[in-house]
Amino acid sequence: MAFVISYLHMKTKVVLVVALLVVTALPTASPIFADETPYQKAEQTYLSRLDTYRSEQTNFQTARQKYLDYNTLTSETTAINAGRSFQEATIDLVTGYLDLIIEKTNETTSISSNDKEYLVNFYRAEKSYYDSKRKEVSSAVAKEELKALGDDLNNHLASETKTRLPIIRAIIASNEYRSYLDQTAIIFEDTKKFIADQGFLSKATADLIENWVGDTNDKLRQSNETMKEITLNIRSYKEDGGASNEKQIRLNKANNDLSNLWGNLISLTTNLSEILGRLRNG
Amino acid sequence: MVNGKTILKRKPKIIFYIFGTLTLAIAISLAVLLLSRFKMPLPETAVHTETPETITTLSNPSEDYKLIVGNELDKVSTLSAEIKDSNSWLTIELPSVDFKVEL
Repeated sequence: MAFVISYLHMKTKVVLVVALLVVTALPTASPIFADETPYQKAEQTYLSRLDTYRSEQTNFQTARQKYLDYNTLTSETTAINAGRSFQEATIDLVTGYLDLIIEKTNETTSISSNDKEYLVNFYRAEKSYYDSKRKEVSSAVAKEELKALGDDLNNHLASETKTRLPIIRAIIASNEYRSYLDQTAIIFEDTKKFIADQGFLSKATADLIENWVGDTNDKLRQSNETMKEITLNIRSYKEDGGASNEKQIRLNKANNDLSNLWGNLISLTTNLSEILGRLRNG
Repeated sequence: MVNGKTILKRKPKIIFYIFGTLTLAIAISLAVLLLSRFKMPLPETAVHTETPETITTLSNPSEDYKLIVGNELDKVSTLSAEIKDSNSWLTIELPSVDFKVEL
């Protein structure tokens, strides 16, 4: 009896210490571990849903094969349940991707109000569609229902989601790159003032800097022109009715230009680092 | 044999134990808070916001010039890292999915 009481007493002590430490220390420490941005959280959720999707796909394929092989009532029920879980996981994956896009939109503060409205409207419409379909899938009990829902979802995915995602991605990237281009231009203007303020430079350094400045000037002008082209193509894609092949050409051109612009931005910042480094070191 | 008196005798010990644990927890919390302060970005210094026009009026132009140019260099490095990283989200794409469930 005494041993039991003593044991309980000791156990209480340990539990008390752990509980008090956790209750007191964790809320204070939590801000340190809560460094993840909403976008990073959405990315983690998306990646985890991708795993779930893959495993549910395998489960469904296995259950389907068993049903086709044995054709029993039990195997049919198992296959229907696996099919439902697979469709739910697929919807979760798509909505997870949409969440990722909207968090990227929220994170990119340089997005124009017009573009933001376009992106948010796309997100709301898509999310509403998939949320409502998920409810239908969850309550489906017959294989015919799941088949019909699968067809509906596939049609929507092909005609809406997959068609509009490339332009959505291009809009976000173009806004982000425009902001980087503006920041680069400001730093370049400051750098030119630094060069003017530098009292003495050896001829070799002065020549080198002059070359870099010339190259930066050219790249900046070229980048601004590319940015205008991108904006024009994206706007035309969004606003023009136009034939789908023409729209596709505009989108491809915009994406190609975005890729070149990104390379140019890297090159511009490298040039500026070289100039500033040389100015600082004399 | 444990009786009522023994439990009463132990009570102050338990109270002491609770206070001891609480003190320890508060100490850990304070240490954590102090550590977290180091993770916060440092406020911008006055030098960082200097415009190039003010350089010539400073007492030691050469050193100040180097400092201001160095700050600008830091800005470029940060911007360059941001630009390089900005492309990473574009590598995440929605895979080809098929909702078809046919039995």
